[in-house]
Amino acid sequence: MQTDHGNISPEEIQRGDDLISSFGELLENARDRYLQQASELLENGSLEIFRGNCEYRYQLNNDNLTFHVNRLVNNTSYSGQLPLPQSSQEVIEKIVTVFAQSEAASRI
Amino acid sequence: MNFKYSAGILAGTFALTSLTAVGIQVSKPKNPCRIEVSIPHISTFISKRQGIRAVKVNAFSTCNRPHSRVSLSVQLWRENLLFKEMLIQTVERNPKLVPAGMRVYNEATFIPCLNFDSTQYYRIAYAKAMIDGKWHFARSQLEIEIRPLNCGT
Repeated sequence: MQTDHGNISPEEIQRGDDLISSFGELLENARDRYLQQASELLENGSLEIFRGNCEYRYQLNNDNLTFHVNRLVNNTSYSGQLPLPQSSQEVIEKIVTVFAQSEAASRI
Repeated sequence: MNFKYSAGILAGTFALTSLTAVGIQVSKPKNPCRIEVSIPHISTFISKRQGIRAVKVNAFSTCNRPHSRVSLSVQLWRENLLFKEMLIQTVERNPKLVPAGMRVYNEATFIPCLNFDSTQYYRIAYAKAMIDGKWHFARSQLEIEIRPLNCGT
């Protein structure tokens, strides 16, 4: 049956949406670390972190933030790019959410 | 040139064109790879301390033959009154050999909602994979389905 989710099954949708829970927990529990990381990223323009079985790379260029997650355990990767907001406080919040998003994605 | 002769040429040309068209339709190989993409939807997480809402897209790619070097790209767009804006683009990559029918997922394309403002969203997705040394491409449906959600971003 064709639904709003195409031929993606409810179980697959649920599993995909579970990632939001992981994202939310990371935002709650790792915010201080993310703020420290955001400060380093804003100062240097790029940041590289090894954590768990993953390598994370972040880069700022032309009002965009790019990120790359290497899942070393299975040799797959997840990367992305998004525009940054104008105000500095919004930029920090956006960077913090991207840290949580990329760590949540590393657990897939 | 008399009418009979020119009519014959026309008929021959028509028949040849029809045969060619049929031949192309018959011989065109079916794309071995396809992708499925959900329409942007709101996904939520509620804890004791906070609630999180996000606009999210789920997608997977699959091929009916063993394939490798899969990359599945998903873009989430917001449409305003005057312009369209890409909110995020993500790419899931799997370089390994993937068995026929197995799905490669991109499940982390989302943007947290900042408020409940009604906002129009749509998504674009495309994938590529290597089969027997050749790249094969797949993309989401061509028509763009715009979905309003109570999620300001």
